[in-house]
Amino acid sequence: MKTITRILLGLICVAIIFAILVNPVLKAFADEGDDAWGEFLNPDGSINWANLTYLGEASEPVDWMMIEIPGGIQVPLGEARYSRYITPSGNVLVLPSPVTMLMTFLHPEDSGFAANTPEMLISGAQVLSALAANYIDVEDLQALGYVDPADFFQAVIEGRENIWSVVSPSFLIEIVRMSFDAGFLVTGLWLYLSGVNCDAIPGGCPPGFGLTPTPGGTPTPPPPVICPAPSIAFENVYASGEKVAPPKPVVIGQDPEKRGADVELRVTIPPVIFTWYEARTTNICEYTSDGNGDGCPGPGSEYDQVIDMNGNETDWSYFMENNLNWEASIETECIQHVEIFPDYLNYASLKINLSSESRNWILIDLAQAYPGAELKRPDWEFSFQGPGSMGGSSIVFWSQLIPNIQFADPGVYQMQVRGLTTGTLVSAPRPFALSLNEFTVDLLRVTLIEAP
Amino acid sequence: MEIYFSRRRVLIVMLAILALVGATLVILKISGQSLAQAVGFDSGRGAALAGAETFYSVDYHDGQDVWAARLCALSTEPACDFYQNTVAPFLWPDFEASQSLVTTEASGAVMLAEEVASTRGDTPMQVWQVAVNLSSPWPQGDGKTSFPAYVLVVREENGWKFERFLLEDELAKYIGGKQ
Repeated sequence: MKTITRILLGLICVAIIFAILVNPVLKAFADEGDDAWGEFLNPDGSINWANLTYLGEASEPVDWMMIEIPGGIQVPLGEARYSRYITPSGNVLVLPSPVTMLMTFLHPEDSGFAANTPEMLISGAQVLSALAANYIDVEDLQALGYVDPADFFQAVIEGRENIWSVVSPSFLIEIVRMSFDAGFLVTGLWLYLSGVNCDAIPGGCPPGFGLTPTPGGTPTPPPPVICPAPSIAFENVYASGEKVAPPKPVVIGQDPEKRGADVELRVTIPPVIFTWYEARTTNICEYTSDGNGDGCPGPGSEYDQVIDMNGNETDWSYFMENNLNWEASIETECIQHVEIFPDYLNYASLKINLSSESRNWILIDLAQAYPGAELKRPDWEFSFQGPGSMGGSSIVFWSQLIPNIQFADPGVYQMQVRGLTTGTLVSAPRPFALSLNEFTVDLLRVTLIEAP
Repeated sequence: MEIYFSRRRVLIVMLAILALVGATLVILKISGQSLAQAVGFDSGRGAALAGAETFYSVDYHDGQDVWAARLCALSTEPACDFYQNTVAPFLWPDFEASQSLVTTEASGAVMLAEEVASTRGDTPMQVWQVAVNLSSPWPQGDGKTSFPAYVLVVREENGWKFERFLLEDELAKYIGGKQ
């Protein structure tokens, strides 16, 4: 029961947050066009990454991301990490890592978030709902008197409730790992408009921030691109379906057992592939034989690598400071991360319609042989809910058998399936509409044959 | 066809096998693992006790990597990532600065709860309370050498693994327990 309720809550939250809240909100902002959000949101509500210039990752050790383990020992959940972008007009878009976002909302005062709240598309409570959706039992929330999970998480942010007494114990490690693996998910977007205090922006002010666009709409020259922008890719949703039994169904009017026909529907949803790049910098102090170096100022702990005149690694030493034979530099490496997110089925509807040729045949040809022949029920529609189950390679499979459909009209039936996926943390729900195999329902006709 | 094995050849083969096994054991020892730990534990109790003992046992001579490798050998993969990449780099400068030598005994395990991790295919989890006794306090701690610890263990394909210590805020829902 608990598992089922977790799944249900997860689906409800994901569906609510992403199908109802996030996408329409993104779309609404995109529709406004001249809004600060409009310059990097597509008309369909998705993010136009091409309009954002990646500024790289900013991270800083903070004391509000510590947890206490037995023995009074404080250990960090990592550094606060932010992926940052600059918009064409010079605003800064910040995507915190999942664990940074969680701890920020749990410590809004200590993190400085309350004092410098950025523009957000959805509330912190809604973001927390989405992050913790799979880790909370709806019955636990109901026992605390909360019907809407967002109300509970608002109480968490305000310090009236304790998230740790409700979430599954697997949540903490998994959200930390999510930060390592999945980087910066589009669950929460923080937008800092030009003109705000640089101290308010995680990681400080980037180059070009606060400069107004030049007349004529030419945007402020962006800083150099450090790493490619993240991208999302997926294959199309695939569906198949056919009449599975009996081999030769007949109209129920001619079948005393009213067997009807069984139809099976299957939907296959390929995962969403999210590719993002981590800019990893290496501070290097290197010997230079041309004597034009600026030296390697201390402390030596600043350097990840110290390379001597033979190309070997060595330790930093004081003589390297103010020494023309030594040069400090920073190398940036873009490390590609590919994350795969399963996309579940939200709903599917199957339409089964008698073909127009068969309709005409019944109304014209058959009516001549059997006066009064008419269409009884040529159209059928069935609706189903997901979510389906995840198989190998994070592909989601869903299938449904519809038994004993009582077809009363003979002829060729055409099937079409429509549906919507739930969407993922990095992508909006995907609609799909596909035509499926045809099948025939027979009519038994008696023909008198003259005896030889 | 007949194959003849001389005593000398048999001896050489046996020596080669022994050398191979020995080398494997040495490699595992160096990386802080043991054969028993590498395959997980038969019970959640074993994983909880070993996890607590391994986490709190520190020998500054070993260094950060060996400490993390020992912990990883009996931890779940996500937990290993956490200890290796976040916890160890934070703790070890203090261990080295204070030349920490701490041996640990964990005992008196009591299971407080059984749950499933729905995000990991409904794999079973258990919460255990264990009594931790340190030979000397950690440099980062409150100075105590005896304290209770609440340990989360998770069953994976090859047995029970240590995951983490619960936060004080999480303890409210785990009351009671059974031996």
